[in-house]
Amino acid sequence: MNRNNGRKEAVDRLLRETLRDDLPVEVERRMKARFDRCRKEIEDEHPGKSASRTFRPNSIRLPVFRWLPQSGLAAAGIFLIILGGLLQEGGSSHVLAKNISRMRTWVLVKDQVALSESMTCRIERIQEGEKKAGYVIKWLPPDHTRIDLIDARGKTVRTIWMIQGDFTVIDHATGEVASAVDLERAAGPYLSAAAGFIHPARLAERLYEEWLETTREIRGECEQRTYRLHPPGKAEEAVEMTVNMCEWLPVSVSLAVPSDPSGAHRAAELLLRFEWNTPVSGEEMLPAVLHRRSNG
Amino acid sequence: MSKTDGMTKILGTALRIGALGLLIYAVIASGRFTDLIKGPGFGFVLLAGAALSLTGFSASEIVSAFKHAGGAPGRIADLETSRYFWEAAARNMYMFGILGTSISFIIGLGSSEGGLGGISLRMISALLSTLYGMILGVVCYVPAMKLSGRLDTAGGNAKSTESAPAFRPPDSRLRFENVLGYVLVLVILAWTMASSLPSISTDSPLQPVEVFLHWPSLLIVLGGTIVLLLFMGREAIGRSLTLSFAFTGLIGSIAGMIQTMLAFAGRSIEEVAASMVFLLSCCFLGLTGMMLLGAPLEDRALKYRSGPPRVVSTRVAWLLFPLLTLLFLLVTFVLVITPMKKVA
Repeated sequence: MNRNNGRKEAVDRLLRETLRDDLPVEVERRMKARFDRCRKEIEDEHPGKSASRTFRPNSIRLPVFRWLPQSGLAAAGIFLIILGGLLQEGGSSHVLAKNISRMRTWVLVKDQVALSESMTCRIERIQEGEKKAGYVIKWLPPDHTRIDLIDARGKTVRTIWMIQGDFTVIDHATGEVASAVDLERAAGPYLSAAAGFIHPARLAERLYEEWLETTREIRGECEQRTYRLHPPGKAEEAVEMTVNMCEWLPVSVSLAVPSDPSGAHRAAELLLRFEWNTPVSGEEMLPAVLHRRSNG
Repeated sequence: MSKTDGMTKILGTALRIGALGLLIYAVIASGRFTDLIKGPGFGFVLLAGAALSLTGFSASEIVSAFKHAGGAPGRIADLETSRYFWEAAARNMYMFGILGTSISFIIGLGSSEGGLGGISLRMISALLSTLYGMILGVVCYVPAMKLSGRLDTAGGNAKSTESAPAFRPPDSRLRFENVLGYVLVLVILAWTMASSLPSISTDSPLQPVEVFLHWPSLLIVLGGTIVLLLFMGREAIGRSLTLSFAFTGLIGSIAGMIQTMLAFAGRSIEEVAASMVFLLSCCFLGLTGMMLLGAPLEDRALKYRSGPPRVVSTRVAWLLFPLLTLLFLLVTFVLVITPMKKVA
């Protein structure tokens, strides 16, 4: 037998004897009377409060808990959680979600444009429903651009090379080689109207403009979305850009060319179609003269 | 205190306030901090924080708190209440700073005015409200610290004329000033939300309800709060409400963050956007619930308690949940402007 346990039994017995719940009736009555007096004093000091409430520290109860059954509240709470979860999983649309989605598209398109290895842009001028002369623009990094002017019959009439700000122009009909000071003089007014889109860096700048989604359609395996872009506060300068949502790259841009300075009348519509990261030969990106010169 | 001492004290306080005013004026006039000055944001934090203080305290308690902060004598119990008032005011300013950031952030995302640059600028300037909240919170916390020092001295000073703190039950009466506080807070919040949206969206005016009301998160935060309240019991309703809103807001926002990450991995723009909105909305609703429902009830329950150890759990909730909200806002901003890498 363990002696320690024997000692503990003795202590237990002593405690049981001492703490017996058999107070004399008179003692118990006086104790209760003292408690009641104390409660009454507190209730007198703070009228309108029951002592049971007063003795409960930090408690303010809402009446709703007294009126509604606990089980009903629990069921309502769980129902709300499930309903909320289902709505979220169901993809309920929200104006903020649309804006965030649009912002993400801007960011991704800008990123992909900046990372592009080459760009080919075909510009078609459509006037009164009929295709007119157009352009084919090819770009290679860092800053090599070739612009071919195509006539209404599809023949290349002039080629312009833009290399680090210098313009070299070849007229294919006469074979003349010349240099030009600006793009508008070398290529005509229609190209300058589309100038904001013919270089990836300029295109990326335009992506900071305000966007409004207009249409969505599935082409092949990818979704294409069309956005209406315009500079902040200039809705009249809007263009429409279609973006491939798999590649996050612009597919086409459509813009109107005004015939008068006020922009009230549309003279023509320019349709720009983009191809990204397709192989472009380095030879065609240099003027023939320079090419011959560089080959010795 | 003699009349001369009183005059000297008033003069000293006036001089200090004047010096502080001059310093603030010099900072503003220098033009170096124009990027950090946003009048409406500061006004929102100050007014809403002050209005929320009205909801939990009586006018006489507020007047006493200002007097005690200025050094006026008082009973220990009253000094304790005044100290709690200043602590609550600091908390209100801090919370409204982050709530203001949250509102500005949501408004910033709610309109495409100014393009990507405009939205980014609005989202960054939204953080100014937090700065104001922190500054005002510190300003309000100084009297609380000062009163704590006085209480420590008074507790051990036998010469003190102040009597020992008596037991006082929680204040469950709703006074005129409390109702006025609730009304003012609601008006300031509604006005801020309603007035900010049309000013940034000229082409397609957005309705505050459609921007700030996100049903899934509202239902989850509300349902979660009800269930947690039932679990926590009906006793300390202020504390339970605070904790319930903090927990449901936190759980909702963490769920939203996980959903955002998963959507990011799946490269789905729509899912990324939907989960970000859920995350933002859970943070906003959790904060708003804590402040509008939890704070006033808790203040009325705790203001008469004596001694330094207050309820730790709610203090942690008051401090941490807004900080986490701020963190979630920053992460959301980074995620919005971070491109997803293409899978080869």
